[in-house]
Amino acid sequence: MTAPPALWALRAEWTKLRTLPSTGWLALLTVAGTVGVAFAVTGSLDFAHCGPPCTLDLTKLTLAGVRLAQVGIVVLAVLAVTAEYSTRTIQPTLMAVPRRFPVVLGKLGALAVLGTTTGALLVAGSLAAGRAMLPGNGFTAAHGFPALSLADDLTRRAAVGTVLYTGLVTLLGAGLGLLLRDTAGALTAALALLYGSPVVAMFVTDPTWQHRIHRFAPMDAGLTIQATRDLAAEHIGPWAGLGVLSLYAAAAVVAGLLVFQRRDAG
Amino acid sequence: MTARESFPRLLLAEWTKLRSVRRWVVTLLAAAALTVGLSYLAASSSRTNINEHAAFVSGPHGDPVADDFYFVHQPVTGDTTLTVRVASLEPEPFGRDVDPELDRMTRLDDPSPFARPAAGIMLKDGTRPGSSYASLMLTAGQGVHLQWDFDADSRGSASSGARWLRLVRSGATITGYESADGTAWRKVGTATPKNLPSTVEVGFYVSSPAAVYTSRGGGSSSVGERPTSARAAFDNVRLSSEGTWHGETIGRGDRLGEKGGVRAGGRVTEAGGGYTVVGTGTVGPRPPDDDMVEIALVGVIAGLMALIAIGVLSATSEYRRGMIRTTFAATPRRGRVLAAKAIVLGATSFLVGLVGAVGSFALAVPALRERGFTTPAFPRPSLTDPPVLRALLLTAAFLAGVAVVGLAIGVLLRHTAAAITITVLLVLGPLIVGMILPGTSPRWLMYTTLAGGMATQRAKPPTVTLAEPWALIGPWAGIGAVAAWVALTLGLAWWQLRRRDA
Repeated sequence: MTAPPALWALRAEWTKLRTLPSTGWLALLTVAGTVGVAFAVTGSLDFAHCGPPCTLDLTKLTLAGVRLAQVGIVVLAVLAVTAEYSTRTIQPTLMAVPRRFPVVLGKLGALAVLGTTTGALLVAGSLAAGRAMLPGNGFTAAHGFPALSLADDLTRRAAVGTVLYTGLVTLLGAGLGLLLRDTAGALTAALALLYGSPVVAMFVTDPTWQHRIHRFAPMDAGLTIQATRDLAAEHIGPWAGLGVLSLYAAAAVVAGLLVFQRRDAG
Repeated sequence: MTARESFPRLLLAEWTKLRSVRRWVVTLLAAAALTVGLSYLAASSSRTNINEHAAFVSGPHGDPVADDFYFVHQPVTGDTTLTVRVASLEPEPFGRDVDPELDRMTRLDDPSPFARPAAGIMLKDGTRPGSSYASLMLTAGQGVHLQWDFDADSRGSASSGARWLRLVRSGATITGYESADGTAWRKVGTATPKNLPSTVEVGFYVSSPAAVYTSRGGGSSSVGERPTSARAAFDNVRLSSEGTWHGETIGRGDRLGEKGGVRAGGRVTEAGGGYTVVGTGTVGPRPPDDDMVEIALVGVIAGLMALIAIGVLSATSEYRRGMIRTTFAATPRRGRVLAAKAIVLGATSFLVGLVGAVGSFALAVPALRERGFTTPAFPRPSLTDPPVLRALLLTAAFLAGVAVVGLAIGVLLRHTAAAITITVLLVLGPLIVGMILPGTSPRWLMYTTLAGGMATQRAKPPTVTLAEPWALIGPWAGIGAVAAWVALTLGLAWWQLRRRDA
């Protein structure tokens, strides 16, 4: 017993997460969903029907699938936390590691690792899809569209940002799960938070308020980092947008931790 | 026990289950509160300056109207008869094109009888834009029409060539007649304008509505207009009294003319007893596309999320706790249990939705009126207007329908997280995809998915000029799509319940 309890808890939580049957499927669904959308989008674009001038943001379009497929990783994160309550595994867990902080840190750490790994896979897959499909549709260097490459600063920022985005929404889901302890409640809250705001923004007719919603809604702000063109038209800076999302995730996690510390494991 | 006795008892049992879970009752109340709260917040953060553009004038009924045309007229007191022959009506060629942006957009083909170039005769309560009138006209491509007060229309013959027109005023009623040869007359209809003083302006006129161009997609929409003008020849002008004709542009015709490079305003020239009149503008209703009722009901999306959770949980929680075995032991006919659950959940959700919708309307409409949503562009919507009442009731039905779909998917999947995610995505997924898809392509998506139910919130007719995809379809089509989903998922759930173990 030389390892510090936090690391030990991380390993235990990783084992639990790994052996939960839904984990693999949901992570796979997230990656496959994003890459599938990337294939569909890049396959349907056509340089001949664009512009002139053609101002498509190919990086953003290639990575757009994460908007939809993030559902998988959010469900995974919520379930990883709330399933312990519904199956009462939480009681033996807390008996094995009576100090609660390491337990929950281990769980969040394991989820963060899983989330960013999933993010890295889906970014790699989407970019590969873009590289495979786009040149065939006329998006070649001769037309001003060099192949998507991580050597390009903006594309690299979008790729790294999307990986971080996936990790952050995972933590957001886990935080809400800790806070509400209930699958239905946490999942509804997470989905409403992510998908509700773009819909509300459509209704609001005041441009100032539309701008504010796009700035401070977790999904819209967080995915600003995918933009590689026409950055002035975005509502918030790329890293500032990811910062907004981290604030949401941090708030959910901190509130979840506080509640977890104080509450009985029911 | 006969079946007739047991079904109400089953309903009561399901209702007891629903109301005795405190968390659900709180969620139901929260659904209504969230709806009202979000609606009020969104209304407080909305603003419009539409009335500052002066494109809107109030008609005799207070509705926003357009009243722009070229009028050759004289005052007449008391009963009168005016007869003319419209010899020709043709469009004037476009002037210099100043807005090439429009060529990249789609020209909107408005089928309304008020949206055609027209040449005809009119009786009008003075020359103030928006005042009462009755007019009998030959339109380009839609035959002869008798119209009055910007919303009433009765159709005459489908004639497109030269036509004789006659308006007869007798007290408060105006009768329109048409003829091919000036001898055999046929009645078109009777008009009863709201305000008809003893002295009215009588004469002949030409109008030609602007061509409207739209594009939507990528989360936004834009609308552009290009003015048009039409030229008509009138002869055989016969008025029952003596006077001199005076040509005048009514409304903002002059400004319309300058904008698009069309020769400014309208004009009249007389030659050999005939008149050639050039006019531009629209005489008819001009409702803005933005729908105040829809904007007041934004919060429904929040209430919807909570109701989906309740719907799914009312099915899956029974499986999780093994309660379903007790339920089916008590009532072995599983279809009846499902029906009872659906009825109880649907009715409860409908009531919650109705409270949320009416509360949103009551709070958000005054907030919107303080923020530019006022006359003339936006008359005050009232709870008793049929379109408003329809929007509120259908919105509640939409919420109830989605909750029942949640229940059915919960029965099918027996897994809370999966069922909630799928139901939420069935509503929000098509909305987000539809926002991005260009043109009218999201229409099929709205006709076939739960997202189409959002159309129930609109009190105005469908339009392609807004960014929100559900504005493309009508409210009845939207609720139809929801009803189809309810039937489909409940049918599948019923079939699964019968063949599967509890």
